[in-house]
Amino acid sequence: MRMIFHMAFRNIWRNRRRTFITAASIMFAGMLTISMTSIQTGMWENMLQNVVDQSTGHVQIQSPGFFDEPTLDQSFQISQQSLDQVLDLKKVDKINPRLESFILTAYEDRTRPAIVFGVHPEKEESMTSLSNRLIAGKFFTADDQDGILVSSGLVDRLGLSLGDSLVFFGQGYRGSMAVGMWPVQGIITLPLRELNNQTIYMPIHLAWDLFQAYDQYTSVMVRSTNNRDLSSLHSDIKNIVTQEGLHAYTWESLMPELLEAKQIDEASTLITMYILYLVVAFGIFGTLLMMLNERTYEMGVLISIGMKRTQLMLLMWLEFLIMALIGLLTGMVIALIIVVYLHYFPVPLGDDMQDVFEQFGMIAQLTATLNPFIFIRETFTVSIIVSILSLYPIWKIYRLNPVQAIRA
Amino acid sequence: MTFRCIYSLFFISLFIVEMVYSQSDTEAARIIRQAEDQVRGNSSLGTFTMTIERPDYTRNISMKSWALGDDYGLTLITAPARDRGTAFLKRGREVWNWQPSIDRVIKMPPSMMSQGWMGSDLTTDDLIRQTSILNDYAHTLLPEEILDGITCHVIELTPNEEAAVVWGKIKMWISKVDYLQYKSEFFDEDMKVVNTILGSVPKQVGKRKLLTRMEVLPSDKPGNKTIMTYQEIEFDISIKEEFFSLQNLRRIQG
Repeated sequence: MRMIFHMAFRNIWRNRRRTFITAASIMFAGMLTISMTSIQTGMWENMLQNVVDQSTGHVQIQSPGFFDEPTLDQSFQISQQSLDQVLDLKKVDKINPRLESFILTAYEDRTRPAIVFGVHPEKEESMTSLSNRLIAGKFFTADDQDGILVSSGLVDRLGLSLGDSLVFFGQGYRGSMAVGMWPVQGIITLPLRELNNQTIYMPIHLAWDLFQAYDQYTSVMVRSTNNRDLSSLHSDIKNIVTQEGLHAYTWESLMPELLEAKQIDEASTLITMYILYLVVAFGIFGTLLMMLNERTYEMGVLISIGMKRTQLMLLMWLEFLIMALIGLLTGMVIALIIVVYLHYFPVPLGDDMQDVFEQFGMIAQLTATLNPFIFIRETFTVSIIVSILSLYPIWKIYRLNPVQAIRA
Repeated sequence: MTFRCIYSLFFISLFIVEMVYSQSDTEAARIIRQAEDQVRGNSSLGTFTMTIERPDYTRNISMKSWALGDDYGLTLITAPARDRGTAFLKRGREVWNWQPSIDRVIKMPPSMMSQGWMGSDLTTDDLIRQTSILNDYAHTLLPEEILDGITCHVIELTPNEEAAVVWGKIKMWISKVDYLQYKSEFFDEDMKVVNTILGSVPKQVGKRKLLTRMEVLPSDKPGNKTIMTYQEIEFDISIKEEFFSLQNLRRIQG
């Protein structure tokens, strides 16, 4: 038995190029499947995290009519007591009440539509890290009497600069007129172009004043401490807010089209993955076939001089297994490097791709998840492919006719 | 016609209806002209309140309006306190809005022309659109009906093919005795009622008799209603075109 191990090792290093080619084909298989799955999952995770952090929260409190008719008239008041109760729930990390509405903005002779977010600056900051988006000027605090943050796209469209007064004109709460004017205190840049072209943040009391919607909110974002088991959190929150006639939605129910897009993408990726598995399987099989053909003579001789077929089978199987192990390990290491790099330094895909991604509210950047489960699953899949392929040399030796093999 | 009437309530131009009576002078056309004669005038000044009723709230707006002919109108909001001093100027098809709180005159953008004026059930477009009931529509006299005890002529107006109007048809109830428009129904292209306007509370103003209260009922939003009432109105005041200027829009205060 030891002798067979010994022989296997010697055989492997006897023809290094052959070993290298086989190991490399397995390495590529492992590397490709791991990094592709990690990238695909990572990009979706990244985007969903974005959506949850920036726009919906894990659970969102709204008035019952807001989902069908997202207007200011569907805003609501919520008691501090209810908000405290929600915050006291074990799984709730943070809450962020907002007032959101469309309005026209004007500077000099230009007019552009805009989305106004009235926010509590410190709550908004702790949930969405808005101050990281600031590229010029000053971030606002709760005490600011008249500071608004304007997204850079809107700043360009209106020809604004810091300190200029922006005029607001539109319809407020319950048919009132929304009219106001405040200086631009800061400029922010948002990753989604559509939002970057029309977003304005202002402290909540300014928004209340502008829309004459005092103490009103259009939504309260609730962030959970973890992603799991949102349904129990959802029903807990629902129980609290139903007393005030309000509704609670999970982010999935607020973004059904996003979830569908994800499912479609996952289904198509699955097909791609199966094709990829097939390709790598044949790649490995090809090198395996080549190796066995090269060594038919050698195997014929070994059997002729009295080596048992089972011993030879074990020998070949061991050799293949060692090569597979080398290939898989290096493949995993390379995939790990790729995935870690993309995770921490996402690669932007350029403006053309951004247009496509924008439809799904995604940022066009290549990133990957660091999910060990994906590593294990993909390594396992490649191992299965390799195990099935390793049966081939056994079958080949079983069928080997030494005389023909030597003459071949 | 009724929208013109409402428009006249705001910008109070109780305009001169086309003086060219080119249309064949049918009985229906004669009734309509009689009705328009009741409210037409060259210039006017009036004070009004507009009540916007919604299922969950009611909002009252008071205003004062000057008007000259078809093209000029100026409306000043006098209540509620927050909107006080806000003024609207109409010149032809354009509307400007003076906002004292931000010290700005804003020309109403097209997107806001199709929104409810001051949150009411009438869009700004409805208020300034100029269509001619006499020239743009064909008139058919239907059998008389009794509406709340008042015998009315019923006239159906179908738009002429080349006319730029939004309605599929209009049905009007005009009282037989004093030619007041007690009711109008506006239909869309599918001949469904979109808006109903009910007039009530007739009052003698000088030589004229007018309905001083109007209710606008949009059919697709049950529970929604806009009521306009006028407190005072004065016709044929002395007012010049220069009054309706952007400068005066800023200056005008009560």
